[in-house]
Amino acid sequence: MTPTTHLHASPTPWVPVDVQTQYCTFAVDGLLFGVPITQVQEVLRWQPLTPVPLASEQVRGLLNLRGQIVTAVCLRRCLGRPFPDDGDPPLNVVVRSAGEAVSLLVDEVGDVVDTAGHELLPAPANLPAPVRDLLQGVVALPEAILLVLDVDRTVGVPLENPAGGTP
Amino acid sequence: MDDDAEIIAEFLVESHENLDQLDRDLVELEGDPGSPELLSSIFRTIHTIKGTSGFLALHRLEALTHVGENLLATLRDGERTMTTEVAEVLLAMVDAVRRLLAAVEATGSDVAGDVDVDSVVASLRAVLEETPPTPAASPEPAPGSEPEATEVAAASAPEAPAPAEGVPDAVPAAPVVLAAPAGPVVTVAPAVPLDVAAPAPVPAAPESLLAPVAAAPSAAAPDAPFEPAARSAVDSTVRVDVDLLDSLVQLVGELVLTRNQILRRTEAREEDLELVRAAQRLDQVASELQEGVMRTRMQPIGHVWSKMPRIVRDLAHQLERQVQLDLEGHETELDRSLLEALRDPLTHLVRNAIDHGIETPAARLAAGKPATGRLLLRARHESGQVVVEITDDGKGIDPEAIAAAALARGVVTREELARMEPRDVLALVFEPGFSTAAVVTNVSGRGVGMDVVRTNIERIGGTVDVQSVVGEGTTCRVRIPLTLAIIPALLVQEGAERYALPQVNLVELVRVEGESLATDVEVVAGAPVLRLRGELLPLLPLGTALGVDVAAPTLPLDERDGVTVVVVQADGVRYGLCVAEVHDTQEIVVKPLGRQLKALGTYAGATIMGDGRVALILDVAGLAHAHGIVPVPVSKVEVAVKRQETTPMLVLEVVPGRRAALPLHEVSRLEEIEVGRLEGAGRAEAVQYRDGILPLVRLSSLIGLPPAPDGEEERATLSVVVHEDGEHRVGLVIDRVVDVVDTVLRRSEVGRRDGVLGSAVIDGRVTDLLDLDAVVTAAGVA
Repeated sequence: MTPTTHLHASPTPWVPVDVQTQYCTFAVDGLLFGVPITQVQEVLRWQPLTPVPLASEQVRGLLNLRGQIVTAVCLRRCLGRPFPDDGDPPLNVVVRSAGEAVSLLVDEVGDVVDTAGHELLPAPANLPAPVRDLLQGVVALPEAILLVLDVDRTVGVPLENPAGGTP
Repeated sequence: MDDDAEIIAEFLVESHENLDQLDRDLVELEGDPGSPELLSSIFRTIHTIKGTSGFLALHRLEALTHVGENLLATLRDGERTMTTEVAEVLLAMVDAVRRLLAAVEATGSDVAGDVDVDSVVASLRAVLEETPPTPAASPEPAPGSEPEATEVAAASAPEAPAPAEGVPDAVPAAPVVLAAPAGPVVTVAPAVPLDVAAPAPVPAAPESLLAPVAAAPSAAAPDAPFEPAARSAVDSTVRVDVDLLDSLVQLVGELVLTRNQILRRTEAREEDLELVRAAQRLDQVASELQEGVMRTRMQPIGHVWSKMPRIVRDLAHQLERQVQLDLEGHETELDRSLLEALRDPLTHLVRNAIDHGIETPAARLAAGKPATGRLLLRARHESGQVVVEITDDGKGIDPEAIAAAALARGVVTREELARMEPRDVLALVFEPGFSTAAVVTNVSGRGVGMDVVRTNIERIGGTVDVQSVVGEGTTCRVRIPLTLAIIPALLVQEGAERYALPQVNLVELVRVEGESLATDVEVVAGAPVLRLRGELLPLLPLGTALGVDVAAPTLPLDERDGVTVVVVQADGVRYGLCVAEVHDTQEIVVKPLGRQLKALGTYAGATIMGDGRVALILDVAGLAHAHGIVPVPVSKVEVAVKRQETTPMLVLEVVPGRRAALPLHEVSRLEEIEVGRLEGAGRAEAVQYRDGILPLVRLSSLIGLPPAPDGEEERATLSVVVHEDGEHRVGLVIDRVVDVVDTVLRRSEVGRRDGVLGSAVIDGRVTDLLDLDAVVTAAGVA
């Protein structure tokens, strides 16, 4: 799987270093998150979403990504953070998870960060549970703490209405 | 390691294909025990598997096939003849090989798993060590040595064209296999085009055609050179990953939608000739591409049918029936996903036909039928659908037994039953209530799991019905769409969003407004229902169903103070969806939903509209389920469907004051014929008419009405209804034509007599319904 990264927000020139340590970063509610760039497909600005009635509240809708139907999940809601009344976060970070593309709605997209030389640490125990549960760990960068998101767990949002319907 | 895995994967694919072939060959061999081609084909297959498994260090598999090969060698070399016993152990070996392969597929080795190889090896050895009783030269076993053998292939082999018996190198009538894989009735033997049993008939010509491609992928068996003719056809194809095909289908779907957008834009710019021309070209290419890509996913139904001889053979053996299986139209193609979905229902229907349809040989002989029952599987394309028929000549289904069982099981009430046509009664076997019923197996002999068959077929957008004549046999007819990826759907709107309803679920659109709103729609304990032609239809406002409109649990009245109801049906549930707006019907490309939404059950997928927006496809059955709308017996629904179908009827007066009616489609023309043109007399009246003779009959006399009172003879012209049936035509002389009425026929038995089916109320008058067949017969012209 070769990700096509269109990280237009990134000023860092693309240098083929060890991709394993490179993270696409984005901000949600003032927190800095990172996802390995190998898992990121692309970043899109605001897209029209088709709401999905009855779906869990984290699922904000469906978007048309060049003919592919992608579920948009609001990361704020996944993390149990307060969300503004004036609509969903504007930016889509499209990630690959279990063979599917899923869009994470985030506030801001940051640089691609190389964490080479820094260890992935366990999440501090005093983080709020909804946040800690979705993290693979944290990387203590000199200027900030990068929360490394467990994408599979994040987008495997629980269903509010698992009953009902045909199998 | 990766290389190994790849080799094993290739080996598995190849072996599975070979095993299918092997099944067919073995069954065929029972019917034609001496055939050297069949024997060497089987030998080669096993030999190949043995060789490769040794190479891949799959030792159990190797050991098993080794013994099997030894036994086959004695058969091939004529030291022993095929008997039922030998066939049994060979088939057991094939099964064991299959299970081992499955274990290899799952674990990468053949040591794991609980596959019992040893007992199969032992039984193979036991057969090997017996002194072969039959001399080598005899091509046929002594009649007694194959006692209860099924006739699956036996009966068909003699009909098969030469190859099965010919000298291996013979080149008989060349086009038999390649050019005409679809003989009108293809029996098992010649039905399979790639049949290794018939490599000989592939003449030099096709081989040279295929030669350029044939050279390429020689991943085939090490001894491929021994069967060049059979392989050449295989080598002309390329294996493509199904995921790749699926993504191509998706992309083409997109392309088609984009094309539609461009075409729409082009219409507004007709002055730009270049653009218009380019758009037309795009249109054409996109259509052809779509068709081509769809075709890549098509597979002949023969893939499913290749399993049938074995299933039929085993089952016939087990149940002590004699069955001849005929397969027709095996080249009929349909989408591979549908083919997969069809496999189980078809197998089930075939099992049912043998288990409950075809009688024991003794019972058949007693009924005056040949001891061997016939089972016919026939597939064909018919107006964008694939129709598969499973026909047996067994004992049929007795509607009365079904009716009695249905009553006993509480599937229908006595009143409902009384209103049912015999056909609807038969359809009761598909009711869920019949599924577990040992009762029905005893009483009528049918119905085990038939509801599952129907559910599975309906799930892929198909239908199934059953026809049967007691004592003569049963036909199950399955209709399925060619492809699933693109479906017609009705677009409806609720709030700002559009939703797609698959056309296959649509029954009708009903608009209720004005006064009828007050009378026809009622809310019973909070549940809105619609009176629709005497039935109460549960209503489900879409907004409420989707929870987007919780504030207003009442019915959504639109600006014209009416309710638009889309009557839908799925899984035996029928209800009315109230929607705010109905748009048009469109072909939509079905796309899957992410796993966050799959379990929701409310949506069958999503699609992209012409404007690029995403629209959800509603799952009609899922919505019903989520809102507690439970299935009513579908028989009832079907009766309702029947009842609401209007038929255009020609209403006429046979004699003044006595009305009769016949379906308009039975009427060719209405004529006024001058009395002077009549020739002949009495019941032999006729008139020259359109280069022929039109016999005339007085309808009144044929249906037991008194002749017209006096005065009739003074008429200058006669009113004649001309009915044509093939070459036969007849003119029915009546008093006058009253009207053509589109009516919902509710036939009553009142007035039933010769020439009259019964009566119905049409236009507020009691009207005889003519039995045209009887009338024509009585007129002596047909």
